[in-house]
Order: sequence, then structure tokens, then C-alpha cells
Amino acid sequence: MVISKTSQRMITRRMLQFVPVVFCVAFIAFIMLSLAPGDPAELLAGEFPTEERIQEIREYYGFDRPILVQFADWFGSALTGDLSESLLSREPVMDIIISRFPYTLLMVTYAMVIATVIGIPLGIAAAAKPGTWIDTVASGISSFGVAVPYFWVGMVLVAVFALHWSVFPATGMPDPTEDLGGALYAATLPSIALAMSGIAEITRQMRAGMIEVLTSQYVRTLRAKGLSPNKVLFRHGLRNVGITVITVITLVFNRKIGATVVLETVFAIPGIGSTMVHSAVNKDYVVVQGIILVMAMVVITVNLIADILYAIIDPRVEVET
Amino acid sequence: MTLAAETPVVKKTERAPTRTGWLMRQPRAVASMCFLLFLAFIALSAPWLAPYDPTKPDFGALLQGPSAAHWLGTDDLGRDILSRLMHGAGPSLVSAFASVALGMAIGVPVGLLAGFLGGWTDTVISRVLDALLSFPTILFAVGIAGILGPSMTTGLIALGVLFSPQFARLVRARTLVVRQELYVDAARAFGASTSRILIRHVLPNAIQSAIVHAGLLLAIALLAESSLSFLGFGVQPPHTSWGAMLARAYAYMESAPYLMFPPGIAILLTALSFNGLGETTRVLLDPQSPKA
Repeated sequence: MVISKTSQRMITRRMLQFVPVVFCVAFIAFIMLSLAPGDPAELLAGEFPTEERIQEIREYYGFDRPILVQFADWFGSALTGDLSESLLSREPVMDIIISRFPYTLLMVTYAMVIATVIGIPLGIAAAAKPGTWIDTVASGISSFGVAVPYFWVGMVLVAVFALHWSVFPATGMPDPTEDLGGALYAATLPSIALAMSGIAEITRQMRAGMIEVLTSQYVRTLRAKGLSPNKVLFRHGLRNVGITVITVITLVFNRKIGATVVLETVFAIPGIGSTMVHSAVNKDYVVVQGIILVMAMVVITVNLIADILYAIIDPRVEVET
Repeated sequence: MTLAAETPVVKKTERAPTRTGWLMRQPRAVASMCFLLFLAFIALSAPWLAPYDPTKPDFGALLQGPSAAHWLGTDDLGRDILSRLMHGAGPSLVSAFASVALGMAIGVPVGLLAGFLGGWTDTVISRVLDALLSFPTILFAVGIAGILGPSMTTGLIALGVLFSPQFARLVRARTLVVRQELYVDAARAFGASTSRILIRHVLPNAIQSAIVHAGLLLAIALLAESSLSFLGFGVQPPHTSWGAMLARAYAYMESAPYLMFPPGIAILLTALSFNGLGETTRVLLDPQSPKA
């Protein structure tokens, strides 16, 4: 595929922006959590610590240095993949994240597939026949999906399909890197709950995008030339909503990453989200910082890929700077 | 099969002479407003209206189903669910409104400055906004609320900070357009100061999109607050919120599965009403959206 000069320039500019954003993300994550009240060293020293013990811990973790020095040190190591170690378990934060990420990624991907498989056809059908029953159903599903508390949906699903009928497990998930089939099976209920807002968002955006294409001048011309409605819909309509699809999938992905926190807790899945909750409760802020940084990086990278895809699909696109 | 392009996408209704008249003919808008007003009334008068003390345990009536004495049953400590639901309405609504208001209070001035000053200020602000937008909302809020100490206030501050870049971006984009307008040039030619131009001319134009966005964010804020309270990072006992009630329901899911329905449905209906209202605001204030 040939990428035009404009697109290339845009991609380069977008890549260059990546660097300062990553720096800002790291800085915000580090500073905000360092503002926490209380001395982490005292916290770590346990009950009735001696002054020497606290000082020892301070020096071990470098808490006694100025905050900007601490940040520079942390960020410098982070760039090499070292996110320091957990205050509680002494386990390297990067190892924790790598071992937990597959659970979260599996859930998010599964939910994305569910949302796309339901949302895209539903949105197209609604756009093809606006004002009919299918359009009403689609808009009903959209309204419901964005308003329903997804973790409540998760609870209802557990009550019905796990506790009442025992079709799916209520909690837990095998390690996806070892037992992918079993993990997928266990991830079904949480992923359905996680997909709720995604289905809504994708349906709504697809409908709007398709209607914009279908009411455009050139589609009118194609129809006048005698092309069948289905050909117009699938050949020309779909091709031209590519941008919409990427935008909405990116958006939905970003939201899902955050939403897993609650669902992993409901379903007792040992992913990034439940690790976050556990670390936050226990004030293990080195882990909290590490997770926030890595997850924000995931989101930034997904957005970057989306922007590059825009530039390739449609060279006219000027990504807002 | 009719051609999609010829089918009117927007059902053209006769535009009512007044906005109020138009509004009254929108069933969803009317229903949403009535429900929210009703809820606000419940929240304000819960101390007098609620049949029981929401915090007082009754060990003679643990985990009961709906009955004449307890319309929605009782929880694991024998507390009346209906009373707790009524008392939980306040914190849930206040958190949603306060976090969106905070996001707006931070985001609007920042966006205004970035858009109006341009140059380096804009570049720096824009990168910080990009960074804030990349934090997964609830993940970040849990981190902040956990480390700073869980309370309703830290929860809503975290949410407000995360909502602010959305407002800042919108307002910035509007400001970029508005500052090119002739009337802004005219004001400057007449010797108006920058702050006067910003507040009197640019702000009123740019804020409209922010208000529309606020309407659409309320439901998201409500769900986010419920998630935080569910995880124990939001409203703390003895106060209650719907999210916290769901957390208790979760603990007793096997023995008393009906407990999850009152708070869940309350959140759902409120979020639906927020969106109904938000959608109406959007249609009313956004000149480009079809009045359908």
C-alpha cells in the first residue's frame, strides 16, 4: 500500500507527540501518588518500628531524596522496563504486571469481539431502515447499554448463569497463557458484562456513520445509476465508515481497560484491575504507579495505532494536534 | 425495499413556537425530568420520609424478602432496604453532579487559555491533556482514592480531574474558532483587555458545548461513582450510596440474590434519566443537531 506524503508527515508528527505525552503521563502518575499523606517508610516498618528501621527503609527505597530526583530515577528505570519493586511482596512491579496482564487483555478482547459482532450489524441494520422496528430496538439497546451499571449486569449474570443454572463458573479464571480454552470459558460472563457499553457505543456510532454515507450525494448518484440497495450498503457504505469503526473501537477499548477494575473484583479474576484494588487498599503505591503508567501507555499506543490507520485509510484526515 | 437514502432519517416534526412547547412534546425528556425531580425530592426529604433509620440494625429481621413492614426487604444487618435506598440517593446524585462540576470548573478555564493564547502555552497544555486523557478512568481513580485515603471527596476529586481534559479540549476547539470571529477583533480594536474579551465574548460562546457535554457526562459520573463505592473507595459507612449497597448485595448473592435489584435498578433509571436530559440539552443548545 502506498502511503501519501501528507500521511507520512502526519504519522511522523504524531509519533513525535508520543514522547512528551508519555513523559507527562509518567510525571502525573508519579507526582499525584507521591502527594499521599503519611510516610511510606513508616507504613512499611510495621508496628512499633525503631527510628533506625524507618531510616533504613527510607534509604533502601530512596524516599529521603528530593521528589524530582526520585521521579527522574523512577522514570529512567521505567524506560528500561524496571518499575521498581512492590513495597509489600518485594516482587518486581514489571513481573507482576506481565503475569496479570493476560487475564485483563483476554477479558477486554473478548468483550470487544462481543461488542463488535453485535454492534456493527445492528448499527448497519438500523441505518439501512431508519424509523423501523429494528431501528427502535437498536436505539433501545444503545440507551440501555450506556446507562446500565455493567458490574451490576455481571452480578445478575452470576446469579442466573452461575448460581441458579451453574452453566458458567461464578468466579475465578485459569491462567490464559496455560489454559486458553478454560480461560475463555470462564471469561464469558465478565466479558458480556464488560461489553454492554461497547455494544451501545458501536451501534450508535455505526448507525450515525452509515446514515451520513447513505444520505451523501454520491450514494444518490450510484442509486440513480441503478445499483441495488444492498450493493450500495455493503460495497460503498461499509468502505466509507472505516474511520468511524476505528474511532469507536479505540474509544471502547480505552474505556474497557478502566472498567475491568470492577469486573475483575466481582468475578475474582487475578488481572490488572484486581491487583490495582489490592495494591491501593494496602497503599502499595509503587505498584499503583507502575500499573497506572503501563495501562496509560497501552491506551496511548492504541490511540497512536488508530491515528496511523486513519492516515493510511484516508489521507485527507488531519489529526487534531 | 425503499432506498435508504430517500427515507427521511430525521422525522420532521413541526417545530413548536417555543422551546418549552417543543420540550413538552418529548416524552423521554419529560419522563427524565420528572424522575430526577422526584429523586431530588426523595434525597432531600429522606430523613423524614424514610420508614426506618437506615443505619439501625434489626437482628430479628435479617435478609428478609419484601413484606408489608419492609417493602423492599432487609439487608444482612436487618436494615430496611427502602430506607437505605432513599438515603443513598443523596450521596449518589451529589457525587455525580460534583465530579462533573469540578471537571468543568478546571477544564473550561484551561481550555479557554490554551485556545486563546495559542503558541507554547497551548502546546504544553495540550500534551498534559493528552496525558490525562490516557489514564483509564476508574483504574486511576481507584489508585488516587486508595492512596489518598478512601472517601466520597477523594473519589469525586479524582473523577473531576479525569473529566476536566474532556471539557478543556472541547472549549479549546470552540475558542480557536471564536477568536477568529470579527466581533472579537472589533472588541480588541475598541481597546478591550484580554481578560474582558475572554470572559465577555469568548466564554459565552465556548461554554455552550461544555454544558452539552456535562449533560452527557452525568450518567458516566454516576456509574463511575457507583463503581468506586462498590469497591469501597467512595462513600464510606455509616453513610450509604447505591454502589455501596451493591457491594453488600454482592457479599450475600447466594443467600439473598434479590438484594442486588433495588440499588441496581435505581442506578439504571437515574443514568437513563441523566442521558435523557443530556440528550435534550444537546438538541436544545447545539444548533447543528437535528430537532428530532
